[in-house]
Amino acid sequence: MICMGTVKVIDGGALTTIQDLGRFGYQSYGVPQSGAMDSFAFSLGNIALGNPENTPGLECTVSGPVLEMQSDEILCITGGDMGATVNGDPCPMWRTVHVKKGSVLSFQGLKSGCRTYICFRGGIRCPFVLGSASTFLKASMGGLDGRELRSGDFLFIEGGPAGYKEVAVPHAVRAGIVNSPEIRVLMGPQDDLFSAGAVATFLGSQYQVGVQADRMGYRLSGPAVKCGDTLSVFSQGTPLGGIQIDGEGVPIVLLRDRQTVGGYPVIATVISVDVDLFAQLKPGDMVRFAPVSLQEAATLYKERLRVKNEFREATRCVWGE
Amino acid sequence: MEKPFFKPAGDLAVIVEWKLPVTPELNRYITDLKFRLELGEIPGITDIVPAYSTLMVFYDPGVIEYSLLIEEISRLLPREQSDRRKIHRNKTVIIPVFYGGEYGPDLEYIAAAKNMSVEDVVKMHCGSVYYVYMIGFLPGFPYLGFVDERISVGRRSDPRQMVPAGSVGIAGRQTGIYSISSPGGWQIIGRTPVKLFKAENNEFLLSVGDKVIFKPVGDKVKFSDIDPECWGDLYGNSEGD
Repeated sequence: MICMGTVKVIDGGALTTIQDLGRFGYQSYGVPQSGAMDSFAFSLGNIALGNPENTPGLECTVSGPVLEMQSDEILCITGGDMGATVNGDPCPMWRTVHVKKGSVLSFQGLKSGCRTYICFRGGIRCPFVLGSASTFLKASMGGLDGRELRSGDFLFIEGGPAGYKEVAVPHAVRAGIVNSPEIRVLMGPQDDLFSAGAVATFLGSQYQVGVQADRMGYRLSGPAVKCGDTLSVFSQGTPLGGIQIDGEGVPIVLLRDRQTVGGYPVIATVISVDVDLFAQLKPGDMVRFAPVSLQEAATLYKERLRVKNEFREATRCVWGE
Repeated sequence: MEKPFFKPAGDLAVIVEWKLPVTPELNRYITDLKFRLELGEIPGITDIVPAYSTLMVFYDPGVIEYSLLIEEISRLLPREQSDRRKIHRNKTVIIPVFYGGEYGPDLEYIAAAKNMSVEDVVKMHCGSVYYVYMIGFLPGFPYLGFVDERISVGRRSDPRQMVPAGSVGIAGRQTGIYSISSPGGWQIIGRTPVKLFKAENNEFLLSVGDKVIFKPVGDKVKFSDIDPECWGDLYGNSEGD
């Protein structure tokens, strides 16, 4: 029997939105990809629950929401640690939990990272806009009426819990969330517009995440990266993780809600597996960049795919699907 | 057409770039390539972004390797003589614009800066058929080229916190239309009631390669296709007047 669960939003938290893995195929119409900022943590939550990886879930930012379960739910919390509790008792992360009807899920405060994911067995029911449930706030697109969760909202959960299964994401699988990490980049595509000195400054300095840090991108503060010729780049597509240098020499890391085109030169691009790690940084955190080759980046990407596939196979047996 | 250069843009995208002057011909060639890639069934391509002199191709490196991808893209490059098949049809769209006043707050500034009358600025802006080089910045926002050199003007030094949807602006030799309300720095000369983007039915009015003609509407009530929301925007919600 298919039933539908209901979750009442008591408090929306600082910024909680519905996301999936993003909106693809519309960047030529100016629509960014959006999707979970830490896509790996998000995917692992869904995989643990036996959901398709792309099932809509919640992305919580800095401070989490307060949610009242109006039906039994099976959920999995991943990503940054915000001190999740159910009825005041600590709620484990990175594993499936059965939360009873009437329970309240809330968060005590940020302990690590910056974004926490709440995935539900069955997923959040949500209309798809341009093929995705992801919320894109700037255009009021997707998710719950294109906006963040607010007090008084209701979420509808597809397919109620037919039976709880215990699945934990193994330590070896999940991403380590650390402060002050080294983020790996592939140089370019416009690194040739910078002098050797400017590249050395960029790679040799520590940068701090500034207060202007959101789903579109993070401005960094630190030594300015001088570009000889900022005006010569015609606006063009922007890569995920692209680090553009503005007229003042400030590096800006472009993330999931970035504009689809931009005219500032991109000195380097964060490799895909590290974009997730980077997205867990918050204002004040320190970061430095280390160059790797395309070959290394591709190998890391494939290794992550392999790990995900293995975990998916393992959970599939548990859920009996 | 000269062969393009390929460069990785991270491990999920490749930028295909032509070191050539920006012309509608080059852009049309890029658009052709985009359509060929869409039809060419290269596995692993996830998104494609055409721009003035570049094409960014996003891909899944778990499906296709970089070196094979650029080989496949090279194989699909249109050959000028042999390849004039119409694989896509572009259209010309007329955009009615109310110039100046509260809807075009920067029109008088441009006229003064360029030492010409407001009427001449409007005439020049309406006097060209524009080519859609690129869509970006906002969902459905067209980058149109190019305005007459004589009305080319830089972005505002103090960008506005909010530019209403439908605003028509100039930035350098580009002109464009704000598809949704957004902060922005383009010099705003008028507004159109035409919707460039309807999220509810996944509709975009313009695509890269289309042409746009601006038509001045001297009188607010002569805006074509006024819907209730535009009426409200124009006149306030003055029901019963």
